[in-house]
Order: sequence, then C-alpha cells, then structure tokens
Amino acid sequence: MAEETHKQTLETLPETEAGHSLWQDAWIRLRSNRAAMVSCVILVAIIFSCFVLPIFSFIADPAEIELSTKNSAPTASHWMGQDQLGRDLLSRVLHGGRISILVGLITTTVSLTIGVAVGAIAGYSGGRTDAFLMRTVDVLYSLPFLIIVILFSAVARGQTDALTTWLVDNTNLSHDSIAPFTGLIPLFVAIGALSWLNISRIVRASVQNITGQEYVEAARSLGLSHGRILLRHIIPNAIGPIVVYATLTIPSVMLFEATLSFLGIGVQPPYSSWGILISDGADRMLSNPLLLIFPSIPFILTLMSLNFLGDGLRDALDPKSSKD
Amino acid sequence: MVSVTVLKSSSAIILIGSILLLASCKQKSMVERANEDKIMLVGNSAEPKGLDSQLISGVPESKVLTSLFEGLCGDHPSEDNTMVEGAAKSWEHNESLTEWTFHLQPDAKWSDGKPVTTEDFIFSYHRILNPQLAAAYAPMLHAIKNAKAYNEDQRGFILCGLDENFPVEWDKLSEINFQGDPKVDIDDLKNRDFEKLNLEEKRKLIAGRGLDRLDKTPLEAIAADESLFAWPDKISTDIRNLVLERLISHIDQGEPDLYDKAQVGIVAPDPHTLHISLREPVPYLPAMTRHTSWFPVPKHVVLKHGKMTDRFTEWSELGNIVGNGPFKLKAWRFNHYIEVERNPHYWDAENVELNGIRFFPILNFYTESRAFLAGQLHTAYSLPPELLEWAKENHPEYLRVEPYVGTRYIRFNTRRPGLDNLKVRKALSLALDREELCKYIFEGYKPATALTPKVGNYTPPDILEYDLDKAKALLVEAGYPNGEGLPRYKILTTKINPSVEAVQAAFKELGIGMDVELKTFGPYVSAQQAGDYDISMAGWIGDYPDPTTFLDMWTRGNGNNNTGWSSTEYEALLREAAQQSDPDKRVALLAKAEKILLDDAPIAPIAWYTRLYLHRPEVKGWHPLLLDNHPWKHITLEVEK
Amino acid sequence: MKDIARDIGSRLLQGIIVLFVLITITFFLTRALPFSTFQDEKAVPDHVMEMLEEIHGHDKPLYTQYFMCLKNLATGNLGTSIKLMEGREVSEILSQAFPVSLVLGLVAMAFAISIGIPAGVLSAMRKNTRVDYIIMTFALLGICLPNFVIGPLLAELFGVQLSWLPVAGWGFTQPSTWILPAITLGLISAAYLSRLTRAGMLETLNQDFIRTARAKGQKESTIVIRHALRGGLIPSVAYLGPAFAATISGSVVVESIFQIPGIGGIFINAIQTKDETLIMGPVVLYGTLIITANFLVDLIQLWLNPRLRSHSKS
Repeated sequence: MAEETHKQTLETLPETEAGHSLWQDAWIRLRSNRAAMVSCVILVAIIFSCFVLPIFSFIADPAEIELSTKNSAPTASHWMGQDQLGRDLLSRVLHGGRISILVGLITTTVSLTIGVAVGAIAGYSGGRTDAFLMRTVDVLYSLPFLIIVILFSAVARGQTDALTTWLVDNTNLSHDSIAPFTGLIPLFVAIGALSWLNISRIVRASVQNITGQEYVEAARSLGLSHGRILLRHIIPNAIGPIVVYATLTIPSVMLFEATLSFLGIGVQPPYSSWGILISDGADRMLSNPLLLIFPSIPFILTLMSLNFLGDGLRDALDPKSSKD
Repeated sequence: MVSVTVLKSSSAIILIGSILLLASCKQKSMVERANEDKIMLVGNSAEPKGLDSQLISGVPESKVLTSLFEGLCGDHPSEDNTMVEGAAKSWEHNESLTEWTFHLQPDAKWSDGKPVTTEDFIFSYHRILNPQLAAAYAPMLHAIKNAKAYNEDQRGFILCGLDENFPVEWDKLSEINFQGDPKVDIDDLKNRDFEKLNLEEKRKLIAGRGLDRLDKTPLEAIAADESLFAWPDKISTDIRNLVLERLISHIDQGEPDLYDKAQVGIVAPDPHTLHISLREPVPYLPAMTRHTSWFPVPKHVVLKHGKMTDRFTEWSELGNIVGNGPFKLKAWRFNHYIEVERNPHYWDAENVELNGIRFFPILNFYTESRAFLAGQLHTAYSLPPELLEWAKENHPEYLRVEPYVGTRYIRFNTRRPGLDNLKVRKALSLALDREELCKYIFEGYKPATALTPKVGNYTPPDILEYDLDKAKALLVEAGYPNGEGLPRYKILTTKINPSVEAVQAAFKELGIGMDVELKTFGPYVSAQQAGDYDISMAGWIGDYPDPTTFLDMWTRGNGNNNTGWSSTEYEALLREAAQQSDPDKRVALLAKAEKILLDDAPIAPIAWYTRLYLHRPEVKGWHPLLLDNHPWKHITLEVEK
Repeated sequence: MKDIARDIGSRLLQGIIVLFVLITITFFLTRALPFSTFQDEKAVPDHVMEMLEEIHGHDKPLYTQYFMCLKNLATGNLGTSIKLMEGREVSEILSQAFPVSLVLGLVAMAFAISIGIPAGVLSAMRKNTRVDYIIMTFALLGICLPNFVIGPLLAELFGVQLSWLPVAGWGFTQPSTWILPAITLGLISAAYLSRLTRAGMLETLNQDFIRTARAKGQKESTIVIRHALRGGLIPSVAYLGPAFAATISGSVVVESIFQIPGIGGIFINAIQTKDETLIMGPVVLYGTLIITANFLVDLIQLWLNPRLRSHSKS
C-alpha cells in the first residue's frame, strides 16, 4: 500500500508540494542506510573536532616548536605525539583539518555555482546556447587538469600577498587568520574552475528532463520570466543529483589538494593541511610511522564517510535505486 | 554459477602462482651483479644539462665530467690539499706565484686516439673566455692575465690600452666610462631606436652602456657631438677621436675576435709545455685547474660540429663526444642513466680499476634511499636528514657523515627598513642557537663560527654566538623593543623544511614574527638579484679549497652579493691579500676581511655543510674529501668474503 | 554512413579546438612565470643575459612570439630546449621519455581494467554478500588513499623488505620495474571502475529483458556476458576517457616516487626552469594523447550505446 502511494506520487511530478513527500521518502530511505548514518555521525564529529575543539586551551598551539622532544611518541600532554619539529601532532591534525575541509567546501561551492549556472542555462535554453556551452565544456574537459593547475600555481604563487596585506590593513582580521586562506585562493580558483564540468553535465541532463514537463509549459504561459522559472521551479527539482554530486566532489577535491601539497604547490607553511601532514608523514615513514598514520586516519575517515553519504543520498533520491 | 567459481579460483591460482614465481626468481641484486662486472652504480640526483664542460656547471654534471675529462692537475683520493698529476705531469711557478708552467703528459691521448697537446688547451681557454660563447663560468679563469678584459669584451682596454703604440697610457684612458654605469637605469631605452631618442635619453643610454657596448650609430653621434658623452677633462679631443675611431673601425670590420690583441696570458712554447701568466699571485692555481671550467675540450671534435662560439652543438652528444679522462661515454638515456666505460687511450689506463660507471639521476632522495637499500646503488647522493637517526640505528655500516665545503647562511637585504640597522641584524644573528639547530635540524652539520669553513691553511675566525638576552638588548638599543615597529618580514626560501620553520621560530622568540615566502629556484634567485626580498635562506658551496671562493662575492655589485652591503675596507683587504704571495700573511689578511664581514652582519651564517649519504662498504678508494670530488680512477669494488 | 562520418568529423574538429586552447593557455601561462629563464645559481652577467635573450627571440614582442610558436607547432616543429637541456631537440628528449610514460600508462590502465571491471561484475552478481562488501571497501580505500602514500608503502614492502621488486628506475626489457609504479598509478582508476561497473551492471540486471532471459532458464553466466555486459559497461566506458587523463596527470607523482624517466619529470623540471619549449612539448603531447583517448572512447560508446548516435536523435 505504502509502496504504491510512493510510486504514484513520483509519477505525477512535482510542484514543490508533491516534492515535499519526495523528500520525506528520501529521508526515510536514507535513515535506513546504516553506513550513511554512521558516516553522518563521523563527519559531524570530525568537523566539530577540527573547528570547535582548537578554541579550547587544552589543545596546544600548532606552531609551537620544541626541538628537544621531536618525533616523540604519544604522551599525556601530547596525545598524538610530536612531529619532526616537536609540534603537537594532535593540534596540527585538528588545525590541518580546518583547512582541508574548508578547501573542500569552498572549492566545491565555487564548482557548484558555476556548474549549476552553466548546466541549468544550457539545459533550459536548448538549441544554440546549449550547443555552445556544452562544446565549451567538452573542450575544457579534455585539458590535462593537473598540468594546468601546476603551471597556474607556479604563476599565481606570491601574487596573493598584495591581497592579504590589503585585507589586513582594511579589516580587523589578524594576519595569521587571513593568510592561510588568501594563499589558497589560487588553489580554489584553479581547482574550482576546472571541476565544475561534471556538475554542469549532470545538471543539464536533469534540467532538460524537468524542462520537458508540462508544468513548466504552464508556468511559461502564465508569464513567469525565464530566470524565475529556473530559480524557483527547475533547480530545486534538480537538487537531488546536485547534492549527491557535491557530496562526492568534496573528497576528490581534498585528495587533489593533498596531491598538490605533495608536489609543493598547495598550502604553504607554517600552516598545514591534512595533505601536507600526510605527505610529510609518507616521507618519514621509515623513521616515524605515526606521523603518517595519525593524520591519515581522519583524512580517510572523512573521505570514506563523504562517499558513503553520497552513495546513500543517491540511493535515497533515485527511485530506480539499485537496492531492492 | 559454475563459471564464476572457475573465474574466481583461476584468478586466485594465477595470482598466487605469479607471486611464487617472482619470489623464487630472487636473482642477484643489481649491486651484486655490478660488483662482478666491476661497474659502479652511482646515485647522481639530477639529469646533467649537458656534457660541454665549458657551458655547463653543477655538481651532478661535474661527477660525470670528471670521469670523461681530466684537468691539468688531478684529484688526490684522500687529501684535499695535495695535488697529483693529471693532464699535466709536473708544474712549476715563479716566486711571486704569477708565472706558472705546466708540462703535459707526453703520451696523453683523447679517447679517439688523437694526442692531447697544448693546442687543445689554448683552444679551450680561448673558447671559454670568448665573449660570444656567453659561458657563465668563464670568471673562474679571470685570474689569467687579461682574461677578464677579453671575456668582458673590454674593447677600449684591448684596442687602446694594450696597444703599445697608442699615444696615451692606459692609466689616463681608464678614467673613460668604457664599461657603463650600472646605476643608470636604461631598461626602457634598450630596445628603442637610437635615432628616435631625445638628447637627454641619448646621454642616459650612452652613460648606462659605456663606450665598449655601443653600436656604430651612437658612436658616430658622439664623434659628431662631444657633449653626448661625459669625457674626462684630461682626455684631449684628438685622443677622444682616436678612441672612437678604433671602436668604430672594430665594428666596421665585423667585430673580429680580439683574443690575440687582448694578449691573454696563455702561451705554448711547444706542444707539451703550457705557460700561464696571472694578473696577481694565486697560490692555489693547481687546485683551480681541477675545476671543470678549466678542463680541456677536444679542438678537432668541437670544430667538426660547429664554430668555436656555437653554443650546444652536437659535439658533446653520445657518439661524438671525446674526452681525455679515464672513461668514455657509452650510453645516455635522459632521466634514466648515463653509462661510461673504460677509456683504453687514457694515459694511466692500466691503473684504472673500474670497468665502468652508471649514473642514475634520482631526484627524490627518499626514492634514492629506498633504491640503495634494495640493492640498486653503490652510493647514494644524499640522505634526507630526517632519516639520519633511523640510519644511525639501523644501517650504521652504510652511513657516511662527512664535512663539505659549504655553508648555510641567512642573507639580509640591508636596504629594507629595519634591516638597514646594524643592531637589528646583529640581534637576529645572535638569536640563532646554532648548536641546537645543528643538533636537531641541520643534523650532522657543524655550527658555523664564521662564513668560511676550514679550508687549506685557513682557520675561520670564531665570532658568531648565541645570546638571546644580548639580542633583545640590541633591539631595544636600535629602537625596536621586542620587535615592535619592525615591518613583518618574509623569509625567502625554496623548500618547506624544518630549517626554515626553526629559523622562523627563533626570530619569533625575539618578538619578530615573520612569514615564509616560498619560490621555486628560478624566481628565488631572480628575487634576490633584483633586491626583491627581505631575508633569504641561502647556501654556498665553494668551487675550490680556498677562502676567496667564499669571500670574493661580497664586493659591491657582485651578482652573488645581493645584500646591498659593501665595504671599501673589506675590498681593500681582499685586494691586498690577492697581491700577497706569502701564504700565512695572505690567510691572515683574509681572516681580517672576514671579521669585517661578520661584524657588519649583512649575512648570518648558520652551519657548515656536512654530506650525509649511504655508501656500500665494497667501494674502496673512496675517502672523505672536503670538495667531495672522488677521483674515479682510484676506485675499486672489492667484496669481502 | 554519412551520420557516422559527421559524428567522427565533429569530434575531430573539437579535438583540434581543444589542442588550440591548450596551446594558448600554456603559452601565456609559461610567459607569465615570474622569473627569467636564463639566470643561474651563480649570477649571469648582464650582457650575457642580453645575448641569450636575443638568441632565443625573447626580445621580440609577445604576440610575435605567440604566432611564431603556433607556426612552429603547426609544422610539427617542437623546437629545442632552451635551458634544461640546452640545444637538444625537444622531439629527441620526448622520444625517449614518451615510450616510458606510454607503457606505464597503458600497463596501469590494463591493470585498472583487468582488476576493476571483473571486480565490479563480481560485486554486482554477489550483491550484498560479503564478497560485495569486501570488494567495495577495497574500492573505497583505493579512492581515498593518495597515491603518494600507496607508492612508498608498496615500495617499502615489496622492494626493500621483501626484495621482490625494484623500487626505482625503468627497463623496457625488465617488466619487474613496471609493476609497482603501474599498480600505484592504476589503483584509483581500478577503484572507480569497479564501482561504476557494479552500478551499471546492477541497473542493467534490473531491467525487464534480463528477467525474461532468467525466466527462460538461461545460465547466469551467459546472461551476464551476453546480455548484461554491453549495457552494464556503459558507465565504465564513459569513465575510461577521464580515467586515462587522470592516469596521465597522476603519472607526475608516480614518476617522482619511482624515478621513472617519463614525461612528468621533464615537465616539472621544465616549469621550474621556465624552459618554454620543454613545457610546450609535453603539454602538446599530453593533450594529443587525451584527445585521442577521448575520441576512441567516444567511438566505443557510440558502438555500445546506439542512442548516442546522431541519426537516432529525433
């Protein structure tokens, strides 16, 4: 009985009203996906640890160096031990997490904004606009990504200092709090600007699907502007794939940042990210494997959780789910 | 159903089978095989940019070049300061160390069988000094009389000053601005048409370039209008015109090579005697001839593939290259390996033990360590310092820790506000606990007490110290108590490693917070040369075992100085030392000069280099050397039973 | 027939446009690198610097240099290296490095395909069993572990500790040198392929015509291979193009870890020395490779999925 109601609801498609029960459906399905739920909990825990815990004083200063006890094992005052300069590893991991997560979120947001805009316009307009936009996407898709980012980073490095100085002079923010982020701007731009491509394709497919529906015809005949239709009716209904995709993009961005850190063009010292901690740890694997293991754990947990969550969301939102 | 099981089990079988096969295939390691073949496997960090010793410089390149070529003097396998025979069998000098005579090996041959004679040496030194070649390391030969003038194309000096028949002595002529005034900025005038410039601009361009570097048009313009150039009063109009005439006619003739007119101090009375005249006493000349820039190149081969001044022709490529050293080139796969094999024509071939050497350009030192431990290399180029403790514990039999002729130091841009204050610089230097830094960061390095490490008979002054309180007091005196008022400096460096972070932390303790500015090597060098930095992490490796290789660069305008500091007293002492032929007196003068350098603190030396590397015990004939130039001909591979 | 020609033609044209965009971006980014090509560790005298710039055409205005670059590339002239290996033909350098990168990439892809796709098929067929969970967990790990961690770990284990495989270097006649780098490089693609294959297979297996075949009593393996595979592989094949591109990009890291004399290392060094011809060469090469790969993948997709063909568009 309940099954049939769901199917019916899905087939007589959404105005925002029927969409309501679509979401309820999805939520119920998601809730029953244990992996996804556990992932949610883990993610919340990690985000809390990285963003909230360091405010408290029992977390040491991540930049404080203590050469005589470098590379030491975990102790009561240093739960993860100390790194190659005697800095508290736990603190470095937490602060590093802030940056890695923010890189993931901000870059994905940049990506999403551009991708949704392009995909929606392409899917809605059809015809020449669509063809042009999609050709552009195809062209950009074929570019060797890492190569361009490497070249771009080499050029942009150091150009952000002017911006930092301007910000420090004109706002109340301290140098230390801004600098890691302005330094990352080339990174956000480079990664974000090249990773919106997939999203645009997905959004376009979704939008095309929805645009074909009758209620959109109805809305147009009512005289609603294109922009209004897009924003109020179409995109909200395409949210499903967008959310799924976003959840799955964040981990790949974080992984990419880690690779760039390994190559030396990601985050700069003394700030750290999980990427830097892991690549430093990989180098020192022989002499102090804890330096690799401790940062890897939250990194891998975050990535895996995001993947489980993304998969779960996809299963939950897609009626033709692969789970019976 | 069935086929899936079959699929699963067959892939399992294949997997297990291959693993067993691989495991059983445990052949001899690469090193073991190489020992039998008497071939040495060497980790060489980077792919050589080329093998033309006159155009290329760099440590990885020199490792390969010293197997293929040989200089006048050879390297001693265990003593830094003892000279041995090389391409020259013997040599002598006059009392004032300005005239040297080298007697070449009578039977030396190139690897194609042709004899090595002074003709090759004269050609080689002519080539590297030829301004058209634009050899970056030509200054290594400037000690030779008139070599600098020829290499820098000092036409006024060569065409007028060296001409005995010129009516006026060079002393008077030297007041003329031949070489240009570096303070005049002519960047935007350089590429513009001379005719189209206004009077002021023309004067500026001429003053900036100097008579030697002008084209015909500006020279003729000066001939027509004297006021375009700032002639010294003592020079009469006739002389002015004569100078211009010579310069113009040189251009008219197509700017012929001025080598002969320059009378560069190299003469060969016979095919095996080379006579070198120097501009000042150089007691360490034999040591200098061991540097790759002094190596001979085969005249007949170079000229076969191009003119003397053609850069990077094919003469030095596989199949063409010919050398006078113990080995010859066998294979060259880019970024993969370079292999050399025994050269039967080498004059001392019967004393060469190795049959060949293979150089692997492994850039990533962690990869290199892994390769060494997996038995793929006899010697590694460098051990990452993080692995020192681990290596001490687990592989002490392989570990080598040897002093090296180089210094790590910090460079201050004395033109920047705050850093222009001597007290600030001294405070920063005093804030560095060199003992601690060497213990924990620059592991294996020795704390520096001066810039120059102990080389030859030179003992460095013992000046640098660590005193945080004194440093803080100095800051107060300078007007920046606790660092307040100082701008936020950036430390320029090329790599993110503990050393920068430790230095950053040390300065923070003084109250001066700094940021790190990371640039890749190219921009790092450019920025310093342009004065576009505050503080930089730097290192300098000496080219030869004499303190001047560390001290000469801190003179005004020297391209490796870049601090904005100079001192007439310092330069006077260096010049005096250059004229001094008594070795002890000379060394004392140099120490005095270094003291001035350290007291004025445009730089803050941190530590003297130590080389850390992994090395297999069967390599014999390899001894710790300050210059790390182990002569390949003396190396053998002996496996202990 | 004409439609197929049109499909192919438009994709070729697109490929050329991509190449052009790539070359332009690279040219201007290279020129924007904030330092000079010709300086060295020990200072180069001014007049030497000037002479070097003149020899290599840097004294001409930027747009002139751009057009000369385009002209050279159009005639297939990649020029000579101007700094890293001065005087040597870029084509000669690349001709030594390219086969290495190509073989590495192909072996990595072969590894990815031969492990990833069967794993995905197996997972789909054994859906929700322990086998499925194990395979998918490994796949997830493959996606989440950076290759610069996997590489050294594998090298340490199989190379140093067990001494089974070499950890550095490359030999065309020594396949043992291919193994660790190829696995490190291909692992992430294998992981993605297994997930995509699983999803694609599951979707196809759910369809009516499969149920019909089952009802007809056909063997499971026949069903899988003859009916489901063609549709089930669609998402994986679609991923092959980007997988190849990712493999090429990823090779930069792997080449550093295992000291493989491929194009990646040359490219990185060239950027650090601003050696413009040696930057452009690899970029053009990579670009051509990726375009060719995408082109081939498109063809395969056209074959697998008739709906994509232009003549079937209504």
